[in-house]
Amino acid sequence: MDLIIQVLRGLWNDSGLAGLLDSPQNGIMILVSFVFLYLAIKKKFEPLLLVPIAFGILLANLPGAEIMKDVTGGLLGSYNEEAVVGAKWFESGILRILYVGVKSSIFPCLIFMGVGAMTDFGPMLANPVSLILGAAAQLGIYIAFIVALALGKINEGWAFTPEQAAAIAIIGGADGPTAIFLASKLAPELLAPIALAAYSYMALIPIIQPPIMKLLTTKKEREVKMTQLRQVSKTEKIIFPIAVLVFIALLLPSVVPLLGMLMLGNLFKECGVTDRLSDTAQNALMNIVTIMLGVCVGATANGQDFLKIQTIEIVALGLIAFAFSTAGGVLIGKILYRITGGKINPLIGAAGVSAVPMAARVAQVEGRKYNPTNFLLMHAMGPNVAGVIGSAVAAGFLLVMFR
Amino acid sequence: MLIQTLGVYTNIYGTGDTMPISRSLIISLVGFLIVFAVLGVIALYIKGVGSIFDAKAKHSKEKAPKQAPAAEAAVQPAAPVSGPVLEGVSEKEAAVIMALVSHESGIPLERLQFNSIKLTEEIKK
Repeated sequence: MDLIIQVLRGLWNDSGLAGLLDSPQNGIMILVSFVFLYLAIKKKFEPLLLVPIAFGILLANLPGAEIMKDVTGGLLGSYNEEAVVGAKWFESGILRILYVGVKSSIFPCLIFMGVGAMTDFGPMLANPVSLILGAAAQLGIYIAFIVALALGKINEGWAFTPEQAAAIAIIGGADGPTAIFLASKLAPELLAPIALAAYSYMALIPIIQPPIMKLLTTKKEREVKMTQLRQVSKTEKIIFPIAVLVFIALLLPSVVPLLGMLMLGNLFKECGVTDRLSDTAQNALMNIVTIMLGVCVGATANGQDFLKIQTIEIVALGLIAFAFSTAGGVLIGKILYRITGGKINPLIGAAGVSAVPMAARVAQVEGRKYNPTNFLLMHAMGPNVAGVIGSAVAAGFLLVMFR
Repeated sequence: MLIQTLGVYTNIYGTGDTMPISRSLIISLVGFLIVFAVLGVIALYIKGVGSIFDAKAKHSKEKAPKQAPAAEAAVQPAAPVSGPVLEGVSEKEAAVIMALVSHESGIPLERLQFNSIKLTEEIKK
């Protein structure tokens, strides 16, 4: 009888149920993953990102699965070569090994190559004022940075270091790969909540932006119909990624891994002689890396580490950053509306947050609400792609400051 | 490089150091201005290159009819075609359809090619 009880007790102790009772935080995170899966599958909120992220959360929080187990004691992917060589790193959890791609910034950079191969800089080249809107829409990054540091003055328990504040602030750039790139370098301990907040808010752009756009603009401004864009030659499109990369690299070399990959992908697309490479970068490679990045980022959201007051702070700061970035773009859009005598619709300023192409679509949808004959999508794509460059430049600046 | 030449804020913070609010305000202001300056210079570059290419295109357009008017006349179709063939739909309706296809597919309009937009028999009835 004793033997049977012992066997049953052993089974219970090794079961996931016992693990779940020991750490209820994992149970909460499993529920969170279910909510994310529901939002992705049923509500179609960025499903290509949210499904792998949600499943990563689920995998990492299944008790006893040890899919993110690190036998090297945190040295896997670190700079301590001896420790990594000595440790049996291959006995770590499968997602922990894949996570090296996040920690080393390989995944964000490869994603940027795919983004570059999918990006058409044509609307921005046709209307260079788009870049000013793209710059203005980085306002939220700096506001969030100030607020993050100010939190520590209100309550010491809420304090962030300047490096952490900078990593959190970049959520305002509305650019997932850039947020991961910067967080992995400045505050790797906050990577999971930062990445989750960045991607979640990107998915929620159609909900977050319209009230701010409406609040800051008049009906007359929202109804503005913009004129046809000029034709951009192929040569201009080929020269642009090379020239801009060289220019920015000379100013902010720290951002070259991201921008270099973005411009390489764009050159594949535009040069006309590398169609196969362009196709691979924007389809197969992009999809493969998105799966690995999404699952790994999700898997870092372990209940014990994730359910902290810091996570709530980061989520709130992310929302502040997004709201101010949208407001910055719209407000500069209003100024340009005045300067140009009503030729620029301020709604396209909101697309300066770089979430491509969701933010541009939101500008299009909002513009059509007030003028059904309006077609703002191509005009909004200009600030939208300018925002990608703007957030990368902002990340480069923060890296120079705090690394 | 640019930031390092500013010299004031670089390498003065160790990991975990706190920062006064006044300093965070200055860093934010400098950072925001740098983003504006970098993108502003790129905008000027685009404007400059764009005007060169526009002038070049205008120049070659002006030159082309003088050089080969006969050849051009032979190549030109009887009626100039500037968009898709429309059958039973107005230009306005066609524009709405094209915008919808672009919006729903997420493919920019300039990367889509519409050969024709026809009204089907069922709808005609």
